[in-house]
Formats: sequence, C-alpha cells, structure tokens
Amino acid sequence: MQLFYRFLHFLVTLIFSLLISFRYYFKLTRRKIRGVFYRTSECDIKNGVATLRSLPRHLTFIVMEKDVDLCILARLVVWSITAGISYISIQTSEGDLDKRKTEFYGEVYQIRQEMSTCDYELHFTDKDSAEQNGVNGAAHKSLRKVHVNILSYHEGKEDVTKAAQTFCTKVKNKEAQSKIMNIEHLSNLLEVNKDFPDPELAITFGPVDSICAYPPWQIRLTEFISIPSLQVMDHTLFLQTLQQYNKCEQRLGR
Amino acid sequence: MFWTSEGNQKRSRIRDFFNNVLKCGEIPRHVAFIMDGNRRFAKERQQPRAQGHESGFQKLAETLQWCFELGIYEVTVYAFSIENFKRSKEEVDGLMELTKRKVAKLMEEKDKIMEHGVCIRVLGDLTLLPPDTREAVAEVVRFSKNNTKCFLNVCLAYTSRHEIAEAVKLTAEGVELGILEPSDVTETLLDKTLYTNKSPDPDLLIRTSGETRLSDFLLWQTSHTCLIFEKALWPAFSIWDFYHAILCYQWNYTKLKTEKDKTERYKLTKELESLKQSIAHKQIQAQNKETSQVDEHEIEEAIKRKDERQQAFLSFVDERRQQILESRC
Repeated sequence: MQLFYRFLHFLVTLIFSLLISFRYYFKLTRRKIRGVFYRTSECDIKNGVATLRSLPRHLTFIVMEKDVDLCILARLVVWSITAGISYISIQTSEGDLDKRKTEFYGEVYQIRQEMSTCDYELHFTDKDSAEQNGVNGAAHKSLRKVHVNILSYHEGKEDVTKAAQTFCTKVKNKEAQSKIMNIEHLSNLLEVNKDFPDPELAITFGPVDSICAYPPWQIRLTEFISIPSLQVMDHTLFLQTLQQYNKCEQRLGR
Repeated sequence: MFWTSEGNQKRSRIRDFFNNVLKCGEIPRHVAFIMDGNRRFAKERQQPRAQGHESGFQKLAETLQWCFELGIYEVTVYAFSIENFKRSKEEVDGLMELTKRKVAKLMEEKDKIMEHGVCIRVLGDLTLLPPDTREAVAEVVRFSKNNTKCFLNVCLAYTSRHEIAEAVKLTAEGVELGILEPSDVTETLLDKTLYTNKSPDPDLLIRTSGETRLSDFLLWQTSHTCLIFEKALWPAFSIWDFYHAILCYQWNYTKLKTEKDKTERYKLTKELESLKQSIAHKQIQAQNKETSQVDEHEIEEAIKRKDERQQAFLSFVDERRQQILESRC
C-alpha cells in the first residue's frame, strides 16, 4: 500500500512540476514573440504609467535565481526610473551582484543612453565607496534625484543586531535608558532606513516562493509579486505588475 | 483538533487517502496562518461582521484538524494585531468577547487538551489586552504549558516590529541589570528573545484572501519560509487550497533548505569572528600593545563566559514573560 501511495505522490509531484514549467515556458515564449515584433520605447512605459492611480515610491527587486541576467535587470531599473519611481533597490540571493557591481552600473548607463530624455540624476548608494556617482558630472538642481541601492544578502538582520548593540552600549555607558526603546527609536537607529523609505512593492524573481533573508524590518507593508524568472520579463509584464500593485488596497489593520 | 468534537470532524476516508499520499513527501513541521477575509466573507453574504468572525473561528478549528491529521504539530495563527485596536470599539469589544467565550469553551474540554497533549501559547504584548481577556487567556496557557505533543500559538495584540523592538528593549534591560554585555547581543540571542523563542521558524506561511503582504506578521521568522498566498477568503478556505499550499511547500523544500543552511552557517562564522575581534580589541586596550594574537584557549573561555551570560539572560526573559502572564490588574 505504501508503495502505491508513493507512486501516486510521484505522479502528483510530476504533474505539479509540469504545470509550473509549462507556465514558465509559456511566459518565456510570449516574451520572445513580443520581442521579435516589438522594441520597447520610452513612450510605452510613459503611456502605460499614465493610466495608473499610484506608483510605489520605493520598488525593490528580489532575485533568487542563479546567473543573474544583468542586461534585463539593468533594463528593469531604467524602466522603473522612466516610470517615475525614485527609489530602487536590488537583492540577489547568490551575492554575485556584489562582485559584478561595476558591470551592472555600466549596463544601466548604456541602456539609459538609448532613452531619448533623461530628466533625472542617478545616485548609486554604495556601501563600499562613500562617493556617489552622479552621472552628469555637475549636479543640476532642477533634476529629480533617483537612488539605486544594491542590498547585500545578510544585511537585514545584521542591521537590527548592530542597532541593538549600539543601543546596549549606550545603556551600559548610562547615556540612555532601556525603557525609551520602541518601534520609532529602533527605526531611527537602523542604517537601511537612513536613505530609503520602506518598499511598497517587491517583485521577486526565481523558482522559490520565499523572500530569502530580505531585511525583515522594512517589509511590513510590502506587496510581493512573484515572477518565475528574470528571463520572462519585458515591458508589458512590467506594466502589468505595476497595474496589479495598483489594485492592492491597504487597510492598515482597520 | 479537540474542540471540533461536535460532529463535523468525522475522519473522512477520502481525506485520509490524500493525506497518505502527501505524507510521502516532506511535511512542514510548523505552519503559520494569516486568517484574512472574515469581514469580506460576511459582507458578501450580507451577514453582520461578528458572524464573519464566528465562521472564521469555525474554519480555524477545521484547519487545525486538517493539520493534525497530516502530521503538522505546530500551528501559529495571527488572531489580532496591535493595529486592529484601531477598528471600531464595537468590533474590538466583540472580538475580545469572542476570544473570551472560545477560551471558556476550551476550558470545558480540559481532559481533551490533556489527552492530545496540546500546548497553547499566546504571543504578543499581553499588557495591551483588557484585563479580563488576559485573565482568561492566561488560564489556558498556564493549564497547558507542560504539554509537548502539539502546539498552537495564538498571536494576540501582536505585530512583528513591536516584537523586535521589545526584544531589543529586553536585551538593553539585561545590560542595565548587568546580566549581559553589549557584545553578547547577537542575532542568535535576539532570535531567542522574541516571543516565538520556543518554536522553530515556520516552514510554511499561508495567507488567505489574495492579499500578498505580510502585514507585520513574523517578519523576522519568515526569512526562509515558503510564502503562499491563496485567493479564497478565510471562512471559504478549502482543503484543496490547503493541499495546494502543501504541494508548493514540497516543491520549494530543497531549495529553501539549502538557502537556510547557508545563512545559518554564515551567521555562526560571523558571530565567532566578531567575538574574536572583541577579545583582541580588549587585549589591545588592556595591555596597550599593538599585537593582537588571540590564542585558542582564551577564545574557548570567552565563549563559555558569553554562553553563561546569555543563558542567565534567557531565564530572565522567561521569568519576565511569566510575570506578565500572572499579573492581575
């Protein structure tokens, strides 16, 4: 009997996996076909966004697949900027984006040049190098500022731990009392919070239904939308995702 | 589990059959539920809100039965968030009343709780609850605390940020009282200071009603949890939705486990490293010399001392939680 159950379980799992791969290949083919007939232009993004009620202020990409396609990722970043989003962050689970940062920045600049208008100033918030890389050299005051951040994999909980240690050291040195600690106080102590608001939307890529160690403090109200792989992403799907976000209604406990 | 003994929990043969098939794969040890959609369910049916919460509770009993049959022995549910206190007084009072009523009913079935070995825990800031509700809840917790077969964690007056901030506050109190050193505050220690310190991290989280956010629930604990968002409203959550979530979990299992193990290893090496650093730092300060050679023996000693301090602190945390539970006002 046990053998029979095992066989059935195998069958069910097989069908389940088939359905998932079918969905993936369907989306991939759809993107490829669209790609043949159509080249993304800036207007498409701008027109698509014009119909939306609200945009996330901070959009975060969580990439959980191996061999991240930097070209698609860079394109996504530029589209998000074109759409009018000012804070963009990226976390990859493999941590290889950390090593390929310069390559990634290069891709972003290149794709940006293909766009006709460029009414913003790009800032890469980099932990390693304190300097901020404005692209246009001299900063124009009239330009909108866009911040892009690459999160390293273990940052989130480490950040909270560090804040806790700092606070405890203060308490030990009698510079603070333990009872002043509350949500707001801790929030102010966190590194990540300094430049970036909490993300309103997270798009996750990859074959895992999880968020893989994304900074826990920030995701309280984040909407998660999952896409099977970076490979299936094109501007239509990107706009669809933003539309899906638009339909979400936050009640904040009420 | 036990309070469903009113007739609707006949073990269905069909369910047994499907359970046996699913049991050939990995079964999560710990499942968390965000039971969302009670009010929308009531609205769709033009029923009063309270009716929605009532059917939600019935669904919870049913779901616990499904979990138990499938061999899931720990369940955490998001019953009431701190944010929910913002709702109308009428609804909040109604929910507190419902909690009290259900707890009272539970206490009538004491022998069943003991027979099944169910341990009920309440996670959250109990000081925010009205005294009579807290009293009722504390009674069940006290009564069942020594059971070890299955666990039901009810998050009442809970939000994850509040939990994390409270944990940091407690560690700071530990430092104030001289139990802890600031360098002892590590990620592992924070893990053990959270309300959930007695449970493993959930393997699977199910949120109903199609919303795709965590809404301040177990943010810290779900870093490597399989997150499944089901379309159905909670009172309409069916066994098929449940099976779908379990299948998704099985499909994710290996990948998530690798990630989790990797992170765990990284965390431990990192903590050891920072400990070594702090010893070296102290030596330089004490002896006023440049060299920072730390020998193995010294590290072992330091680890031992740190473990002792952390242990003392954790019993302090337990004691504190106990006090809050016992306090009557």
